Amino acid sequence: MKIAKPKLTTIIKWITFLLITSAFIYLVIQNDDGEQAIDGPVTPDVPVAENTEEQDSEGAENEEVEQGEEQAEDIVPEQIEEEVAIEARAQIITEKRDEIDDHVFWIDNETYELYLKEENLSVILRDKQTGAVMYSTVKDPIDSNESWKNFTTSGVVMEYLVDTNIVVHRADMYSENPTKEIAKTDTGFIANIYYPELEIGFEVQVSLTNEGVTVDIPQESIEENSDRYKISGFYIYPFLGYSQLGERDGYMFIPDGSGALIHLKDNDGRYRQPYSEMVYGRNVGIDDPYVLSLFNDKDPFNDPENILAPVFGMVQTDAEIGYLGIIEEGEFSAQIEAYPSGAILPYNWITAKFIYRQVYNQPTSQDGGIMPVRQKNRNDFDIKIHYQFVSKNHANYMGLASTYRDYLLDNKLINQKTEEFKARVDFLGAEVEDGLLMKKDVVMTTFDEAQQILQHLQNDGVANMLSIYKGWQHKGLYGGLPVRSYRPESGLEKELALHELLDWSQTENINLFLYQDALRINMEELTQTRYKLMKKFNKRTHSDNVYGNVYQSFNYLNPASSVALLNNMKQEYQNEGVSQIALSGISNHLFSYSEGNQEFDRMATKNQYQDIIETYHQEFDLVLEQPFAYLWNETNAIIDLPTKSSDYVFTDEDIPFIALTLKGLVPMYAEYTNFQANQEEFFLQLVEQGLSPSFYITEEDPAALKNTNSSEIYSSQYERYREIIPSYYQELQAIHQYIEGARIIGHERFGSVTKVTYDNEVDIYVNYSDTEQEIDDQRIDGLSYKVVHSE
Amino acid sequence: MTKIKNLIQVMLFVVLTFTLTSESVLANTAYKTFTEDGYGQYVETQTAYTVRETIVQLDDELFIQAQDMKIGKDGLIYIADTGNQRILVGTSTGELVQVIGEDILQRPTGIFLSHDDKLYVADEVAAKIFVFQLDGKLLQEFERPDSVLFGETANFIPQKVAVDRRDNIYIISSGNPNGIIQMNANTGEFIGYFAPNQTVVTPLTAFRKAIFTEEQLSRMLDIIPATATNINMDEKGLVYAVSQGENVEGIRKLNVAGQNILETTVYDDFPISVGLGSLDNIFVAGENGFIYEYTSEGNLLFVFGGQDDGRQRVGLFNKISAIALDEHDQIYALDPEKNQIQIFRPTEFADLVHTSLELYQNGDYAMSKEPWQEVIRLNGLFDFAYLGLGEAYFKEENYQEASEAFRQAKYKEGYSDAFWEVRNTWMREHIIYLVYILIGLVILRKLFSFLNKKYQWTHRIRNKVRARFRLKWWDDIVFMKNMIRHPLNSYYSIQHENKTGMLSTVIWILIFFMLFIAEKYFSGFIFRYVRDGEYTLGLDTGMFLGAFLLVISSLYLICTINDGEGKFQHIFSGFVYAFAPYFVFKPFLILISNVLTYNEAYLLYLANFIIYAWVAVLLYIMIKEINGYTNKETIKIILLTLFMILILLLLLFIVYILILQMIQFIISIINEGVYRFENR
Repeated sequence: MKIAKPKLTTIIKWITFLLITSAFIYLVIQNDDGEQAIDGPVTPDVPVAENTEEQDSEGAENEEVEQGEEQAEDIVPEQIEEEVAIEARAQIITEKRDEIDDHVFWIDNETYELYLKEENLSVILRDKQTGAVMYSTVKDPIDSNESWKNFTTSGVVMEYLVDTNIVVHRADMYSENPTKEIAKTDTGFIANIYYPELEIGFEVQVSLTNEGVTVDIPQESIEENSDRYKISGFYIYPFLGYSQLGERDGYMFIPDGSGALIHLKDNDGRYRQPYSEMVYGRNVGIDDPYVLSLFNDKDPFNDPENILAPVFGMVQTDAEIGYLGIIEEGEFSAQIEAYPSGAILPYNWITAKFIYRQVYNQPTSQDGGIMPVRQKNRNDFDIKIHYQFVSKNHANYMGLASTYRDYLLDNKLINQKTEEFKARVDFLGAEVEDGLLMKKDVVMTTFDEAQQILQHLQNDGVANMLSIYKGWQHKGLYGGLPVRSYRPESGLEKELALHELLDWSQTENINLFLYQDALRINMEELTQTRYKLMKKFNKRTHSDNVYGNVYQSFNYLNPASSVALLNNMKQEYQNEGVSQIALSGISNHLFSYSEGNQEFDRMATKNQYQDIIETYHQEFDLVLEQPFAYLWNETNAIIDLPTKSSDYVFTDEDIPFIALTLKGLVPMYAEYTNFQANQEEFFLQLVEQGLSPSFYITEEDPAALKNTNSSEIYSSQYERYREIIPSYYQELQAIHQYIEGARIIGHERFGSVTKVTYDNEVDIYVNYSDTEQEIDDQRIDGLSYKVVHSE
Repeated sequence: MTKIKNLIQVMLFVVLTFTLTSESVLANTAYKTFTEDGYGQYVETQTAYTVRETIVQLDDELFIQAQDMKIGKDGLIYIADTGNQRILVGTSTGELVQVIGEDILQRPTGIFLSHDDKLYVADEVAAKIFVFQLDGKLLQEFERPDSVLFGETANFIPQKVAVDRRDNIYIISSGNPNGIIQMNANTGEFIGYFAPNQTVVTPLTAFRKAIFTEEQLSRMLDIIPATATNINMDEKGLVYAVSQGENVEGIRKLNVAGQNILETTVYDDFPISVGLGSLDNIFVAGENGFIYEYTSEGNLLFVFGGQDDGRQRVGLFNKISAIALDEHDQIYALDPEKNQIQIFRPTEFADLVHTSLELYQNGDYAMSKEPWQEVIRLNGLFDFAYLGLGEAYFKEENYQEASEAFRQAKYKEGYSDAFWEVRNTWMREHIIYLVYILIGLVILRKLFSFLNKKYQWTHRIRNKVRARFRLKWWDDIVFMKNMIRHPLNSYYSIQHENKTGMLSTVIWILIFFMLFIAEKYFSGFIFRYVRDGEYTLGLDTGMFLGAFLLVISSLYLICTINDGEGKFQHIFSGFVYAFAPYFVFKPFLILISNVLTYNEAYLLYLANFIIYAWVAVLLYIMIKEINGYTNKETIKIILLTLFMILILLLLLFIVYILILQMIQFIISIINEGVYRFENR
């Protein structure tokens, strides 16, 4: 053959040529971006934040869905002109009048008078004792667009969706020409609102109580006759207690984490966006998570704190009036929005928004194709919100906390529990890391070691302890998710079996709880399971990305499966004689989900969770990890109570609202001391808030966790904490003796010193500065505290 | 409550006192803080800095698009208020002290406070450097140098400026890739260009340079070195420069000669500003909101911060344009979009790390031991503390502890030195026993072979076994030893005497694979390239088998179409048996690598080189002998095989992409169908 016998040199030439060309092609493909040519000399290359430009139009719409409302609002000119006329409405009206600012006197009781303007359902509330009044709508709205003008002057605003359009429209007391029928009742009025064009109607019931005002929208009163227009949500008296720029003194209270205050002031347009968070955390079943840009394969951000209690507040300290908004019904679909002045409008206002329907994104392809879909059914709830007013020397956040405490006690939402001081010493048992052939167990604390540690602590004077054993199950903390049977990790049972440890702890009077996450499931370890996974409304399985070293993400169990699992475990635990359980996951997560063709809202999830948790509470000694308010009565202690807020830019002050409310009612345990960078300040916070200390302990050096999913635990070795735990215990125990069972009635800050007053005449002063301070004739050393008991 | 009488006072004190300017706000930070482990990877650590305060205005003066900021010796903040064409001077509590350069400046983008208390301002629109007294009086102006050396077309658009103790001004001009402009502060004379960034010559650019025209070349981006984005100066006169761009050293610490004396393993992609702390620590801010703290030697201590993206939480940024530090090591970070300065203060933990570092850098190793141990107790994953601790032990000649600490720190050089000492001690103590054992072994062996000759033990056993089992596969396996001594004969035997079988070859492949894995994961710490706890067995297996199949099949196919005489089994066995040196010597190397240090590393490298060269020669012989080729043909076959492998890879890649596309397409159609169906 001719081709078969060419000269060797020719072949070599050919091959080298081909090699070079292919290498060239490869390089060009590799260095594609290097080829960009530019005109002229080099200018600094400003990296443009990757935007939706490269996405198709659907993608762009998706973006809009995410921010939905904010975007719609952004169209409004946001900046406030300097020369806005301040309304200067009367803060105090000394006696009863027939009419205030077009509002006629409507009704009164022993403490309050209610004035109503029928045109827009606006109410004015006057405190009979002090004469302080609170307005609910703006009188002379500033120059803005029509939609916002109507919003600020309406008592109730409805949002609605048109077809599957993602833009939310608003209908208030002026827009969309509603018809109103107002009927007077014994305690207030009932207003029937109907929008003929939208074919939507509902009934607003307002009643005056001795505590303040209660507003209801019963679900059965809602009419939706159009297929095209559907209710999306409601704002109830969004402008109640509003103020313009810095005209009033006071603050708004947001229940972010421990609680935070936003002062009423002129922010010079610094904040563009409001505080806007769902009560009881984000709804992962509908809302898309933050678009995360990972930083070297890690999530560089800490999640913000959840809202644990469905409350918010507004206090005007100049007129000594304020209210606490308590969402009694509909809190599972409520969102708390607080606008510091300058975020869109020059007003400070705070409100709860109730969400009946949302639009979610239905992915249609692997690479980002998305279609918006409207939720099928309306979320199932009535709206009921109490505005409970405080005045005079109660017109402060302490007053709000007391109000909430009274509300909880009166409505049997929490019972007085015995409050014995204990130190919380949690253990991490086992974890897993990748091995050459299979996953390796990483044993951190065996049951025997745990016993010795507890024994040792007792000998050192830590008489009372509460301990949660995490990662006790087969395959450890994350490898063994969820706990499906009572099967302790064999590597932990070297000298002592788990039930022996449990028996021993009973005799030693140590509360040892077995930790169970009843929400997450590790599908990497369980290729098949009879438990169903939680699917979002878009029918995609939700995955909770943790970016760990072994497991990248976990899934959630379908609520019915969580219940089934827990029922099964209940048997197992009872058979094994386990009596103390710590539940997490379902105690602080709520979501909407879909199953087959059906959609379930958060209410459905909550109902299932609450039932099983109630059962557990009856059957076991149960503690819940950072529980939401609706579960506070089902737990014997609150674990991992946040000591601070999420530190939003617009918050001016953190307050320990939940601690102020619950101190003396239920034992509360702080987050772990281990991971605090400023441990002394953290200790002072425990003193201030009356929390019990918590430690996360392992026998082994946490360096062994480096390659596990718990790699964020960098400090836990017992050797390091063996002296710290007894010293914390003794100091806090000494304080506890003075305040046992007492409730907090005062909380004041004087610069760096905080004074906490208990109802048994004990004052605790905490000085956060490093120099000695003098308050009330008391000298408090730097970074120290002082307990004063006056008889 | 105002009058408290009849008090029973209970005084309880917190014993420790720390000198901190503390404010009561202690929040869960929005950002996580990371440090670098010994492998250059990020691990989470305690919060190192928390926001103490946010400054949005100095009295009533706001700043817009501010591009630079410096802190004076007196603690005053100087802000280049670029948008308002002035310099603002204020205190850290937000009070305005003075305004400098109004009606003079046009677009001040860079400022610097010199050692002799002058304020240098780089103005990019005026294209000048202005020098002010600190009270605001204009002293001097410098324009574009007219020196020939400056370059006729070179730009003079001053962005940033710095001045050293010898009165040299360093200017970064945008669009001037020649380097940092160096001028004399007294005369305004142009001295020269300083420390330009290097361009990296990739094969592609080399190729382009060869074929492109002048004009095309002049428009190419990557042959022009990136201009530095910012500079700063420490008290010793060392220049710190940060640069953005591909293949550029992000952070450089330059000596007088303009050489970089800093080694960093991790840095931001878009560094924008550099500041210096009290311990010569280097603070670098990335444009997208991350702040890095390095030691003076370039070890990353902390990185934190990030982009706000609507989170609206304190400590995050839309963008950073400048950072600066005050004498208390508080970090001031300027956000030109939010128009604010966030002041971060170190936490107790960061203070502890700094204390240890200070002792360590001053050579007080013994003193630094205690605080380093405290750091480790607080954070067992803080590898830099182990490094410091290791150095301390090493200086104490406590080599065992030192080697353990260095091992924790994954610091190979240190570990090597410490281990050398440990081994040395061990050797000194045990060498005599080793010699005994060696002598004993030699005697035993002699004795055995003597007796064996006499009684023929092995021979008899072998015959017995052979007679009973006829273990051909065992002989095939053992045949490997012939490859070492007589490669040519052995290949002849493989081809013509059927000396190997499929089974034996497969067994050898398995052994090959195990050795490969053992080398990867069980070599000595110093010579291993995978991290602790990193196991990618699936990938390894895939790669190994894939590569093996690819090479074998390509080789066989090319041989068959080129009149090769070898059958597949011959080529297959021959190929595997060519790795004989690898099989024989690699296990020893893997073992021995566990007790070698860098001092003897060359031994290992040499041994490896010999093994691979030997294998290459055997492979060559194999192809030649089994197929009966001439030398020329053999080379041709090898080149052809390589080419085929390349083409095959390309093909596989294309097929993979196409299949992926198809799957995505089908999924999209199904999803869309379901959606349409459900939302009819």
